Amino acid sequence: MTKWLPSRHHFALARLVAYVMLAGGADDAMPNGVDRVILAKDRYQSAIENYTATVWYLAILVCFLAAFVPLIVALPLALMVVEIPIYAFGLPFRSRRITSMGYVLCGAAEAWYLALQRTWIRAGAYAFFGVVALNALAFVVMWLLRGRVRAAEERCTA
Amino acid sequence: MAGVSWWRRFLVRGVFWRQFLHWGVRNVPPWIEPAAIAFWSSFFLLWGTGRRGVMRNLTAIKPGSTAIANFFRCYRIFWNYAWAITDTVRFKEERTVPDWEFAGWKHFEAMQARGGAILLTAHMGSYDLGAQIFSQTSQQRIVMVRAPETDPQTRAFAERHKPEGLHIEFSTQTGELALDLLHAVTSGGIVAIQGDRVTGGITALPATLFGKATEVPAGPFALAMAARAPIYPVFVMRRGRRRYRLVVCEPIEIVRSGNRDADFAAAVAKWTSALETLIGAAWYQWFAFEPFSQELAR
Repeated sequence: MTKWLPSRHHFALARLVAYVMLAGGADDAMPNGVDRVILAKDRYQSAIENYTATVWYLAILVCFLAAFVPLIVALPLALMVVEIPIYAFGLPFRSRRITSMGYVLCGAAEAWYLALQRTWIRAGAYAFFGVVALNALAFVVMWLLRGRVRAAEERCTA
Repeated sequence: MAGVSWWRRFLVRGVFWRQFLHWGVRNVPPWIEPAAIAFWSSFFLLWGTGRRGVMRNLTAIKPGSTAIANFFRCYRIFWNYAWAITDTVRFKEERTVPDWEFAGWKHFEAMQARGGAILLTAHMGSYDLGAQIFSQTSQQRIVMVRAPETDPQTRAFAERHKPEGLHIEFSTQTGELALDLLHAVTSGGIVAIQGDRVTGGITALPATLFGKATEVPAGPFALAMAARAPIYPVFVMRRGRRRYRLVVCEPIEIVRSGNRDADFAAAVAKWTSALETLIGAAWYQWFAFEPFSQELAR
C-alpha cells in the first residue's frame, strides 16, 4: 500500500493528483530507522492535502479581511474568524458535512465580495473560484476514470 | 454534581474542555482542523502553569536556550499535544486510526514471543493510540496503568469514554493493583506504565534526567523484579498529521545482585538514558507540563 491511494484523499483535485502519482509508479520510501509501516485508509488521511486546503482558505480569508483592516491585523484576525463557521453551522446542525458546506459558502461569499474590489485583494477571488472550478473539473475526470482508479487501488492494496 | 462549583468545569483540567474536544472532533471538517488547532494551541498558551512548566523543562533539555526561543518551542509542544489528544478522541469516537511506523521491530517481536513484560513509556504522542496499536498487533493481554484525572467530573467523563478492548487500571489503587499487575505479567500479559512522572501517593525512586535530580515511579521496577520480567522502553511519537511512530528500545533486565537499591539504580539509569535520548531528539513530543525536577520548580 502507498500513501498515494486516491481513497486516502478527500477533494477530487487531490484524488486526481494521487491517482496520477499512483499510476506513475510513485512509491513511498521507508523513513530512516523504521522497520515497518502500517498505512490507514481514510479519506482525510493526507497531510499535504489538508494543510494545503487550510492555508488556501486562510489566504482567501486574509484577503477578505484586508479589505476592511490593515494586512498586519488581518493575518492574526483570520485565525480567529476562521473559527466562526464551526460554531455558526456546527451548533445548530451538528453535522460535519453541513459545517464543511458552510465553510465553502462563506468562502464563496467572501470571494464574491473580493471580485468586486479594485485593489490587489481581488486576486483572492480568482484563486478561490479558480480552485473550485479545477476541483469540479477533477471530479468529472475522476468519475470518468472511476473503473481504472478502483482497479489501481485494488492492485495496490491486494 | 453537588458541591462542585459550576465554574470549575472551565478550569484547564475541567470537563468542559473534554466535552468541547469531543464535540469539535465530531463537527470540525478535517480540512480546516489545522487552523482550529493552531488557534486553540495559541489560546492555551494563556495557561501560565503549563506554559512555565514546559519552558522550565526546556531550559534543562536545551541548556543555554533563551526564554523567547523556549516560548515558541512551548507553542510547538502545545500544538503537538493538541493534535495527539484530537487523534485520540477521533479514535475513540470514530475508530479512525492513524498511519503507524515501527522502529525496533525485533524488540517488539521478542516481547510478543516472550509474553509477560512491562512496557515503560512516557507522556509522548498518544498513550491510548499506542495501546490500541499494541492490542491490534499483539496476542498478549494489555493492561494500561494511568494516573486518574484530578477533576471528578473529568474523571467521570474519561471513564465513560475509555477505549474499548483495553484494560485500564488507575495508579492510585496501589495495594490491590500491585498484586493484579503481578498476576497479569506472570500470566503472560503486558503491563503498560508511564514512567516519566510521579504523581501524589506513588512510591518513587531517585533519578537524574538532563543533569537534574528527579524521581521516577518505583512500581514498574519493583514489578519487573518481582515478576522477573524485562522492561521495554516504548515511546509513541507523533510524526505528522495522523502519523505516529512506535519506538521499541532494547529491554532493561533487572539483575538481582542481592543489593536491591543498586539493582534499581542501575535499571533506573538505563531508563532515564533511553528517556534522555528520545526527549533530546524530540523535545517537542514530551508533554510534561510541570517541571520534572524540584530544582527547575524554584
